[in-house]
Parts: sequence; structure tokens; C-alpha cells
Amino acid sequence: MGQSTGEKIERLVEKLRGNKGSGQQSRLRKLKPGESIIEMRGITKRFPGVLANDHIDFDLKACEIHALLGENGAGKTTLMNILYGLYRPDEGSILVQGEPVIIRSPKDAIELGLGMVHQHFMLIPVMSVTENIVLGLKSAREPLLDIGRAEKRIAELSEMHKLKVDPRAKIEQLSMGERQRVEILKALYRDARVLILDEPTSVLTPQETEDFFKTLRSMVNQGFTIVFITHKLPEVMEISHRVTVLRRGKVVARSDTKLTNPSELSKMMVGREVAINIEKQKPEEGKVALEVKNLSAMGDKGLLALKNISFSIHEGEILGVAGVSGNGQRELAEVLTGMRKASEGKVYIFGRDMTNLSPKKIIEQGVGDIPEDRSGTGLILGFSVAENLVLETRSMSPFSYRWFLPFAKRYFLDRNEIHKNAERLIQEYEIMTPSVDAPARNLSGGNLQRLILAKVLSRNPKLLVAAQPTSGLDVAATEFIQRKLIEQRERGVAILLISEDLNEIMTLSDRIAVMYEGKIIGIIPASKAQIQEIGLMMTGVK
Amino acid sequence: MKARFEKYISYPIGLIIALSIFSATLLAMGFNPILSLEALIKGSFGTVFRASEIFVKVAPLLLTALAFLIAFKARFLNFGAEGQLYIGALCAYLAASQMGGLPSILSVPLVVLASFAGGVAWLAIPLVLKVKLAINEIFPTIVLNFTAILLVNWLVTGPIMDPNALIPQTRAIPRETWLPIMIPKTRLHVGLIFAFFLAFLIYLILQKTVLGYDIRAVGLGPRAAKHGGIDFSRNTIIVGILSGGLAGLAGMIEVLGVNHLMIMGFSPGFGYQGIAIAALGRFDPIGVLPASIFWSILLIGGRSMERATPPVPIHMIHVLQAVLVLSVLIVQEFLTVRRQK
Repeated sequence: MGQSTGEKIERLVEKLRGNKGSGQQSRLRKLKPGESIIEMRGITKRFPGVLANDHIDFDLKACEIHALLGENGAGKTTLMNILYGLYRPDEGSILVQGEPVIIRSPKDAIELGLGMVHQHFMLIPVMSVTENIVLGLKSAREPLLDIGRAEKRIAELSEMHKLKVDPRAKIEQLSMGERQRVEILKALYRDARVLILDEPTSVLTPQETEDFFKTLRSMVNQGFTIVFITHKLPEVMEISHRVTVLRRGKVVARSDTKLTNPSELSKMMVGREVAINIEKQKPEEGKVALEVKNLSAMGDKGLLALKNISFSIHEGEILGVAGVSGNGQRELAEVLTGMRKASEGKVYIFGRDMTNLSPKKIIEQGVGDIPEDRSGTGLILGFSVAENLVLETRSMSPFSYRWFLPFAKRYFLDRNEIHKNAERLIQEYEIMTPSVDAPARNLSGGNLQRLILAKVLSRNPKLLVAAQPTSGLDVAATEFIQRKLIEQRERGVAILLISEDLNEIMTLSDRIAVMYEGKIIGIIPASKAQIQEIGLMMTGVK
Repeated sequence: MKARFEKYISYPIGLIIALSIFSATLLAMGFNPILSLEALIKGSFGTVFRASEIFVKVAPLLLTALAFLIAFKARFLNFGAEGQLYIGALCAYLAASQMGGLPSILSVPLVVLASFAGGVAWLAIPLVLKVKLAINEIFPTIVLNFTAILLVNWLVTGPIMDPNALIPQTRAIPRETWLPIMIPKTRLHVGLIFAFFLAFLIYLILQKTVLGYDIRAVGLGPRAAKHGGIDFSRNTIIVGILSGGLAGLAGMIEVLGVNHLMIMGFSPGFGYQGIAIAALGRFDPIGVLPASIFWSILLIGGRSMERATPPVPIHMIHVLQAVLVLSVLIVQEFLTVRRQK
């Protein structure tokens, strides 16, 4: 059985590749536009407690851009991971050009001509672009590497597809957009004909997105086929030829993009009509919650990342920080929460000098943080949902108790209270999890963020730092989180909202600060802000 | 329910794989594997004395396994349990030999404290280097093993050697400090109960206390732990103290419970074997109980294999132990990967 499948795959590889050994381009002729190349039938995949894919049918035609639309946790990535051989389906079959195949591993998928660019890049930061691309491949001069030849070929590919990147640069020196190009080149270098892109625009600036779409269009014209996983409707409308909508593991719609419209798609994706329409009360002028004076700090590379920053936030006010990521926003949040040392300047929280104190002291002062890095900084993935929810309150009542030991500290955890707390917060924050004891690792992106929100807000912070709170989240989760932030503001919480999403900044903020190269270019009241003006300031124009 | 079952299935599978490899190796060496295994089992369970010997060995093995495990939980890799065990034993001997007239109720706790402190002292240098200068602990802990063993060797061949002894060993410690024997005519002493109690205590700390939560948080997500207000240095120091201390206690158990004196090379690598046992017991303070008992069965049984005809070299048991740990871990990993697919 194994052997016959192996042979089948071999045959299909040949089929996909055209005449064996007669150069790279020969495979193109085989795929006529519109011809069905991949069909997934009745794919079902269960994870503990979750039905990720429920009898999904999906088909892909040659030379199309097929959008796979759905909310976080709808099963888009799972489906594509199955196609790419990372998971095995519990039920269902996959046909490539009408012939059933079994894809056991990414290796099989690559041999079939599939390439996948994951949402989180699989690159080694300290190695060069070329080294990353040839990783795992046989060199022409085994056992020696043939970096020179590889570099040439990468340069060719990058020229041909307008994926500009320096083959000799180290990955850690590259922007997210460039890293994405490296991932695509990696797939192309392995002769991929079908590219699966998982949320590709989530790491791109609007300008980069535009260029990226141009590249995709030209690739399709050259005979490539693209699966575009996204939850952003405008992108679906702009770039895709066909769209498949998933909701809760099921296909809810399949259509030519031309024959549908955003509101219809949105309704199908979410299951109800949503209109993000957030109303805010006028801010009441409260006390100064946070005051930052002439703050400077070093970045990870030992260069000055924050340069002489000053601002203040009042209670009941949201200060939005706009800017292209990498201009000091992350460092600012880290200094405020005690995760990074300031080299100069002062941070006053409710009038107290909190500069360079430990995260513990800052938490005790009533500061809550929703960090940009959710899975590494915001949560402990190996901990259960219940355990994560008490990360900052574990040594407080009622989650711990003294027993009869005559000390001032609370030493013992109260499992019952921790459980009750989790049950309550799961309800309140609509966190989808198999149980409160399930490790956080099992949760999808949107649910992880809800978990962080529940963890932080449940201890009633007085000052909240939120960095990219909705990036990568679907409509429902985004709306939920934005409403929660507004709710906090009305409670009198001072909020520092760092976001790359200008619409979010414009909707939520009372005042907007724009950061560029570690400096605050200007602070303007949101009521007077123009999106174009802020856009210009983000690029350093005052 | 299914996951629970799958958690333990790796043990029988691993054991079968290990025994097959072991038997094949014996066959290739010209031994009869069935007879050898029979000797192994008879050797370990054949008489009350032999069965009791299993548990004599369990005590130090369990303690060194706990020593590795508790530090491992906070991502501190203490490979120096062997050295800490030697120093703990040395401190126990030195303290005990000063306590001639004291009643046991006073002297034994003091000796226990001395050995705990000795173990901690031997881990202090790697611990301080790690916390203050962020120097990786692996190399310092390993190197200090050799230092400790050589120091003890020098002492028992010179300064504290019993002048009447023919081999490098010290005088016996006073009778009052000997750990009481639980079953007459065996060497099974109360240290075993003490070790079990400590395993349970470590379990309580890890699962039921804020400290245990913090330790696990530092191990599983150091950055998130820091962000949540958990102090890395404080928790590393605490696990370091517990780890070094437990290894020191393992040395004390051997001096007070079994040898009643210091003798050159008294530990057959308890410190290193503790690492393997911790892995075999899934780094779980309750899991290391059966793991250390099983390990000990192989050690005791292996000795009788060596006395069987034809004698199977004791090293073969070490091969079996190593293959066993590897096959259980590989099967576990294999099952996890398969479950995730």
C-alpha cells in the first residue's frame, strides 16, 4: 500500500513537473488556467475538544488566487496545514489533478509542487537569506555547500518575481516584509507551483501590501496558483478570483469574488451582521495617571530606540500611539511595564516615580499590560487557561491563603477559587477552550488575546498599556476587544493604545501621538486629526 | 481519559523494546538471555534481604532524582548532584563524628542540616554565576563534581583516614547518629521514609503553593513570568537551594544509613543516575517514585547476574538502563508528535 502510494506520488510529481529534467519552465505548460489542480473532499480534523475541520470541500483551479476567508479559529490554517502535510486528516481525501494522493509530510507536499508561507516565519535569524533558502536541500557539490550558485539562482528568482531582497543579508537585519519575501523565495526555489500564504498581509505596511499584491498578480500571470488565507475583507475583494468562506470548521460559502460583496461575505463569515461602530462619551478630565519625562532607552541591538520622549495621560483618556512598527513603540511599552530599563528620563505613575522598577512593583501600582508578543510575554502556553488567568493575582486573595503558617505572605494556592475564577472569566470574555484545565497552547489566536484581556482586566488596572491589541484578530474578536477598551476608559482607566491600525487609533483615541524613529513627532487631539496628516507624520514628515 | 492512558503506555512499550535490544545483545555476546533475566529477577526479589536492598538504593536515587527535577522545573540544569552528594556526605560525617554523647533526637537533625548546607554550598558557585552574571550552569555544575570527588578522596586517604584501616576510609560515626533499621537483619533504614516524605513535599510545593506556581512559570515561560511579576533570580536561588540540599541529603543518607563512615568512591554515580530517573519519571515528583524503584531493581538484579554462571558483566545492566530511558523517551516523543498530527 505504502509503495503504491509512493509510486502514485512519483507519477504525479512527474505530471506536475512536466518532462523530467528538461529545465524549470517545462512544467508551466501542463497547467492550463481554470483546470482543477487540487481538490480536498470531506476533510475532517478533530483536536482534543475541538472539531477544527468538519467535512470541508475545497478546490483549487490553476492560475487563480483563491481566498480562504474566516475568523480566527474557523479552521483555515488547519485545512491548509493538512494540504501541506503538517497534519493528517481524520477523514476525507485529497486529489491532485484528479488522482488521489496521500500527503504525509511537507516533503511530500513540496514534491507535489506546493509551497506554504506560514503566518509565523520559519527562518533562522542569524543565518543569511541564501543559507535559509537552501536549508535542507541537497547541494550540487555535496558534501560541500554551493552558496555561490544558490545566490545566483535566488537573485534570478527575486528579479523575475520582483521580490527584492539581498541574498547575503542576515534574516535578523530584515524587515517583516523582506522576511516574507524570503519565505516566498524559499518556496519558489523548491519549484513550488501552488503557494499557500497564511495571513500574508498581517506583517506588511499598507505600502508594502500594495507592492505585494502586484507581485501576486504577476505570479498568477506566469502560471502560479495562490491560496490566500485571510480574515480581511477588502483584501479578498481586491486580490482574489474566488473565495471560500469558513465558519467554525465548515464551509459556509464558495463563490466567484465578482459575484459577491463585502457585507454579504462578512455576514457569512461571522454568522451575523457586524458593524464596528463604537460610541464614546466625552472624556472627563481626570488626574494625571501616567507622566513620562524625557525618556530614552536602548533597543535590543544596543542602539537608542527611544529618544527623549515626554507625554502624559489622564484618567479616563485613551492616548493612541500611531506609527509604523519598529519605531520605538515596543520599547516604550516595555519601559513602562518594567521589562526594559530606561537609560534616561523618568516615568511617574499616579505621581510616583516608577522609573526602572520591577514588573512586580509596577503591577502593584495598578498597571495592566496587553503585550504585543502574546504567546511569549502575555501568557505561558504550557500553563492551563485557569493558571494563566491568575498569573498576576496568584498571591492575592482569594487565589491563595495562609493556612496556619504565622507569616504575612500567602503561601498556598486555592485550586477551587482559581477554577471558579476561570469559569467566570471564560463566560465573560467568551473564551473558546475545551476546558479551564486545557493548556493555553491549544487556543487559537483570538482566544489567546481574550485570555490576556481577561487576565489583565480582571484585576481592575488603573493604567492600561495595550500594544497591537487587535492585530491579526478577526472582526468579532477585534470588536470585542475594542469595546472592552472603551469600557475601561469609561471606568476611568487611563489607556496607552499602541497600534499600527490607523482606523483603530482614530476610532478609539482621545489624543494621538505619532512615533517615528524613537521620537514623538507630535500629539494631536483625535477630533482634529486627519488620517492623511497622521500618515505623513508616520513617515517622519511633521 | 484516553490521553491519560496514552501517558503511561510508553512505559510497557519502552520496556519491551529495551528488553529486546538487551536480549539481542546478550545473545550476540553468547549468553542465554532467559537465564540472565531469570537471574536478574531472582536476584532482586529472591529473598527478603535482596528485596530490602532494592529500597536501600531507592533512598539516595530518589533524592538525587528530586534534586535534578526541582531545578529542572525552573529551567536550571543541575548536573552537579554527584558532587553535592559527596560534599553533603562529607559534612554529614564531619558533623556526626563530633556528636558522640548527644541523643539521636538532637544529633540526627543537626547532621541532616549540615549535609543540606554542604550540598547547597557546593552549588553556590554555579548558582551565583547564573543569577549575577547569567553564566550557563551546566559546565560549572559538572566540573564541580570532579572537584568534590577528588577533595573527598584526598581527605579519606589522608587527613581524616582511619589510621587502623587497610583501605581509604574513616572511623565509624557514633552509634547514636546511625539511622534506625526498619526490618531486622537487613540494611533497610528509615532514610527511605524520609526520601518518600521529601518526594511528597516537593509534589506539594510544586502543585499546591504559590512558590511552586512561580517555579513552574519561570521554567515554562521565563519572559511571561517576569512580565507577570515573578522574580527570576529569587526563584532560581530557591530551586538551587532545594536542589543542592536534596543532593546533599542523599549523601547524608548513605553515611548515616548504610556505610556509617566515609569511604572512597562510596557513590556509584547516584548523582548522575538521578538525572536519568528524573527523565524516566517524567520530571514528576510522584513519577520518580516508581522510576527509582525500577531503576534500583535493575541495579540489584544486575549484581546477581554477575554472580550467575556464566557471569554477565554488571555493565550490561547499565546498557539496559540506558536503552530503557532512551526507548521510553523516544516512544513518548513519538506518541506526542502523532497525537498532534
